[in-house]
Amino acid sequence: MVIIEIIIVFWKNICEVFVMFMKIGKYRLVLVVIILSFLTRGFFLATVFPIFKGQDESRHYNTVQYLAGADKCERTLKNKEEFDLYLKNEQKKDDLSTYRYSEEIKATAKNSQSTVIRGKYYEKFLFTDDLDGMGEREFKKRSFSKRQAVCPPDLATNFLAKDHLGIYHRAMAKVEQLLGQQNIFVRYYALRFLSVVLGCFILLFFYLMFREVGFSEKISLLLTAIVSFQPGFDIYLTNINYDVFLIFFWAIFIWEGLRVVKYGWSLKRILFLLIVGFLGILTKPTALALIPVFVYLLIQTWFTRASVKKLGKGWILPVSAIVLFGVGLTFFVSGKIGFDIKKNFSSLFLYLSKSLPKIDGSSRSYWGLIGWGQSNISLYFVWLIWLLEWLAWGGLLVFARLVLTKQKFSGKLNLVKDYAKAKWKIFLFLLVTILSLQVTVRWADWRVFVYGGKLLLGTPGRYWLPNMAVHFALLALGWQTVLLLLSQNKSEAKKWLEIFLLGLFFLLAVYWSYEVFAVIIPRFYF
Amino acid sequence: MLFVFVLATLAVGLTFWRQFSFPDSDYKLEKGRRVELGGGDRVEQVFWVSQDGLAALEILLSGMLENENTKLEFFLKDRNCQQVLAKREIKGKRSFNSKYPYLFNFPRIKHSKNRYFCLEIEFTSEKSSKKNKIRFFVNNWFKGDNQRDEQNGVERKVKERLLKPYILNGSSEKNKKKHSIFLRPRYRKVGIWRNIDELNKRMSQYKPWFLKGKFLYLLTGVMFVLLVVEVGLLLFL
Repeated sequence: MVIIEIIIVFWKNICEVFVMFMKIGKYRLVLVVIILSFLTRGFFLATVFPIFKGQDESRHYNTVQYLAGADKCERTLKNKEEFDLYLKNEQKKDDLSTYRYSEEIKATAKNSQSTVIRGKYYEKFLFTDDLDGMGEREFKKRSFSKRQAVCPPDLATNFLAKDHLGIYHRAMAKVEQLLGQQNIFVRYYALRFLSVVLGCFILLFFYLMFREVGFSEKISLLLTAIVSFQPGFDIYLTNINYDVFLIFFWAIFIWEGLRVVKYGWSLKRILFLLIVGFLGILTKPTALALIPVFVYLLIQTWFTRASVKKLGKGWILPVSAIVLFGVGLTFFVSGKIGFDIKKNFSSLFLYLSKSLPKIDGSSRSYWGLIGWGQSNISLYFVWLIWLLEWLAWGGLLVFARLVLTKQKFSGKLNLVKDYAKAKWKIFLFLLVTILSLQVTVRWADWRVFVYGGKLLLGTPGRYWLPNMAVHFALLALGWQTVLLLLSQNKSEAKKWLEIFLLGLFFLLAVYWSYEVFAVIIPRFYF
Repeated sequence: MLFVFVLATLAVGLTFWRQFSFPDSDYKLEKGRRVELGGGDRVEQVFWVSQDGLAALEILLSGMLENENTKLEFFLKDRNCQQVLAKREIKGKRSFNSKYPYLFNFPRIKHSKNRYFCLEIEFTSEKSSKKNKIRFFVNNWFKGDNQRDEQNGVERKVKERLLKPYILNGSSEKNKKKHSIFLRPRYRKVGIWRNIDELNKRMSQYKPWFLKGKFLYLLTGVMFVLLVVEVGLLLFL
């Protein structure tokens, strides 16, 4: 015990000296360390995953190569018949070398044994007793054609962007060109590292969002650290995928949106929101969900004017307005892409009956549960997290109830009601953000369901990652509400929230470690 | 809370260590024909080991042990299937999913290179039922990996292995096609650093130069240092 105390005192003194030396303040020091830790963990994770293993990574990288100059074709499939035949007879699901990619990607997929990692869990690489894999040294000395082997090529498209190719791929294509003389492994992993670097900026904006919600420095840091260990977030931000850009623009938009809620509008804010939202839409159509959020901000601001408040019950008018706008926007966009909502409306209930029961699967993948191996330990982690989540949602129900009721309270309930009223506008904004993304993604999924006749797209957890910080902010509001009900006063509740979040941080850190060292590394290397 | 965190981290480390052995790249696991073990059945498979440090065997199994009165035992024996070198017993309700190999761990055998060993699996059950069965997978798979090597576009000298056909309940009558059980030996090197070095080598393969060898060590080291610093700072904030 004495030794532990000595270590604690020694550690505290070292930190104090370091802070004094750096003159950056202890909270900023912690933020820097959180971000640097995320950076190195991201680089490490990006290394652990073999080439092409990330979600749709091969397609995204092919899109980058296509834009970097690999847009000529060896062979072109002339019509739909030929295309269907190709998919049926020549393209094999587990063999990337048969896909409509560039010659270089196909050759790399073959050389790097990519069929192994796409196959069954017990299929393993043939390793050498060296730092280079089988045939790797010779492969890197050769140069391969970057022409597309088969056209139309397999690309990740965005129907709202120029030539249906978004700004993420265009930006990465510049990097690909810059590193043009390097072998594919250098170029590929450089792009993965760029995703991680972007992830650091996303984390910074998440921290700023938590501060704008009104959490203290310490609580905001704890929440940021927790998010940085969320395995779904961590793993996905090591990928070459346009979602990285989407989450980046989304984070900036929501942060600025929170500032609008708190400080009101300015010309700079309007322009900023419009530009960031536009860049998000040019990245991926999912960012269309930011339009209702923007409109909601306008409605909320308009509604806070006293003259408008007289119109009726507190929340009915802005909620009705945003719902009407959302419905209108959905019909408008659907019309533009040829999806007749009225004609297909009857299928909506069938779609929901098939899709909603899969919410638990969607949530499991959101929380990064990979599910390799026979052990259920990852599942137990997720169940525990769900339990804590339900606790927060229970708190938020009380939160909303106390604000919406005109009843007067005394004691703790009055304390909670004051807290809830102070956070009400922020809470509504966060909730609208969550709902907007939910509706947008499910609308896209429904459209694919109508055309394909079954759930082809689904709603995997990664689709909800843009709202990661929003989600955690809402959960923290819920937990704070519960703790206010259980504590004597505000400062005690705040102290308990800090302890609770520290515990949650430990839980996520252990869960992350388990997923990486006991699940992912054994899958590929043991 | 810190104590629980340290304990949980150690548990993760232990789980990692249990799996920290390296599959023999010359062996492959596949699902071929299924053979069923009922209560009282016993199967033996003699196999050849190419490296020192044999530490585990991977076996594809499916089925379940229904209740407390069922037992599945794994024995690692000498080449004559006589002397028991290691044993593992599974009792009680348990299911096996053939998507994931079962890992039979045992203390590292220092001098295992170029030796034959015997795997014996014994299934004991008081009652026989449709559910209470264990299945393993067999085939003639010891002809070499020419096809896979061709696919990789690499010429590789295929090692010749001699694998004996499996024996069921002491007789080769039921194995007329002379099939062998799909299993895969795993090895562990002497000392933790040699094993970490082996892992470093494997992780370095098919990576750019800045993620190989010493660079990978540096990245991993910095990551762990920052992890500890981060935990320490948040703890004492």
